[in-house]
Amino acid sequence: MRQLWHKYARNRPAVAGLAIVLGFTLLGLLAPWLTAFRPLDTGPHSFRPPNAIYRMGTDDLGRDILSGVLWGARVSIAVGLLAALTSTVIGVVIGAAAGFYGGTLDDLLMRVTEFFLVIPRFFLVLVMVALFGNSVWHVILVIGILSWPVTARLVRVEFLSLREKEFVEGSRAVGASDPRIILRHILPNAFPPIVVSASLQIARAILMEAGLSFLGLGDPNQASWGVMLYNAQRFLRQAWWTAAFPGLAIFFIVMGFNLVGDGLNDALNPRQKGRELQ
Amino acid sequence: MAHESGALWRYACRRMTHAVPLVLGVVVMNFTLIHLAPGDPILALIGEFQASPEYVQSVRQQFGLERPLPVQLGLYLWNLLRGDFGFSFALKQPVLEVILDRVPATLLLMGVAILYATVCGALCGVLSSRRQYSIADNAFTLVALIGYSMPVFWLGQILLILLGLHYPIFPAQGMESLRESYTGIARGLDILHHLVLPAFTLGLGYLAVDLRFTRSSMIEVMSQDYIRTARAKGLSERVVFYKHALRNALIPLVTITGLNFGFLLAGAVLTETVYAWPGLGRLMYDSIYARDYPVLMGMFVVISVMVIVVNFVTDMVYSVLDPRIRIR
Repeated sequence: MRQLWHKYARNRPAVAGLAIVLGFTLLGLLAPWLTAFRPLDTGPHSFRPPNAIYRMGTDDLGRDILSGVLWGARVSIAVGLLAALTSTVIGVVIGAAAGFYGGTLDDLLMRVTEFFLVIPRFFLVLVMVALFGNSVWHVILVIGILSWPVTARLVRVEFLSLREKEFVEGSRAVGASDPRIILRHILPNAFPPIVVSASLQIARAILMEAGLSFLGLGDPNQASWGVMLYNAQRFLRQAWWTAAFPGLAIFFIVMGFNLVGDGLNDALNPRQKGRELQ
Repeated sequence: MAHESGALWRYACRRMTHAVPLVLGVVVMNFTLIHLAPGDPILALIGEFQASPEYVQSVRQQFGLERPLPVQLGLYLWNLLRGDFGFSFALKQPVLEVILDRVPATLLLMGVAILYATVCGALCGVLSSRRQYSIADNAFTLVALIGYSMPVFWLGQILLILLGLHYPIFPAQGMESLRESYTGIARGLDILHHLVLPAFTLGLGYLAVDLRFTRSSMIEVMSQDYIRTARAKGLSERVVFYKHALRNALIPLVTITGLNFGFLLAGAVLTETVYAWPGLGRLMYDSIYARDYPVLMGMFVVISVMVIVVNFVTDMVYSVLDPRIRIR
């Protein structure tokens, strides 16, 4: 672990990425104490440009942009983490089953994986959220359920090579059960690529939520950066600040997670090429 | 040569057998969603509109909603095969007509974006790999990072505010000037003028992908044995780099373009929404707003079919460029 941190810390962009991510997490957590306004509370002063009271200005309903940006960090990070967690768990289960057992099960699962890899995911997510409702939990679940194929493929390849190793033979010889071999012996060794893929998935999930919200499928009861940009679209002529700040926040958080992902990739799999292969 | 074209033909058939089940899968997926959606399936088939009872009854009949599920699936498939994707209440037009009307504008936008992104991306990637860790390489790496992380619709909004509204160098909205009625070349130039901002916006993320890919692919190719052989023959470094290495490094770009087609379409939808470009994106935005589900679901089918066809064509092009692939 310490060795890993040393490797990671030598990579300056990766450290910057981690700082961005931690910074936004902190801002999100401390949001109630950092602003006097609540993000969804309307106020009497609409379309105020950034000033001493409203540091990032206000929107058409007099809502404070700064508090939206701070509270929005909670939504974005939660969506990113939970969606990536969901898709990673599904991906690991499917990839492990396919790689460990092989044969017909492998063929079948890989066909399904290929299908979900080819179909345009953003549009399926969009149709599902439109039909099933656009609460933030739905959005997390739908993104998570549809983002597993990359992880599944990756885990399968790891399992295919690891199951032939001597230590697996050894534990099988002493009578370990399949679940035990999978969980205790193979999975820990397959961890590095899974972690890298998960961190890049966070960035993608955040972008996807923002995109859905921008098309009008965001959760209106949450301070979401994508929803703020959706509202801003109608007033670009009058109020540039309603678009500028929330978008900047999305840009930085996504960049932060991308840098962390690349940094982990360099630290954990020094010989592997990065995301181009994913 | 006859043998050669036979192999290609066989390969095409093999890829076809992959593509058809994918299309069927998409249809089954749509069908499942209609039935899983909360409330009566009729809602997903008509949208949230006040339809007359007679119309509701006729749709129920057409999709066999009172009959067993397998029959319904069969009817659904049959309707789609006949090109009947339902009727849009919001637009008072058949769904397929509405969608196909919008495809050309989207393809135009995507085509221009792909063209500029691939050319610039490959060029920057090559320059990057030529001098690793130089200032230029670092600058390009930064551009790629920005391209990867930038939400395409926000980039669109910022460019629109800056170059469309504040310094109105480019038109902010639409595909053509509505006040003038240009014809011929003037019309083409007018559309081109409207294309600059949306195409640049849409292409940036794609440029980043191509840049990073070309860079790593060039670095890999340059370390291969045949490059050493070419050098040993006494060829100049320039010839080795641009003639021997570049060609092989660029072939995979075809695949990258094909594989990212779906991702690019999603970007196009978002970009169009910002610039009011009259393509699929704008239609999607309006349909979400109007709760016009048949159009949304029809678009998912049409877009999926487009992606599957592009993947198929990509495989074909790639197998012509690199015949080894057919044997696999």
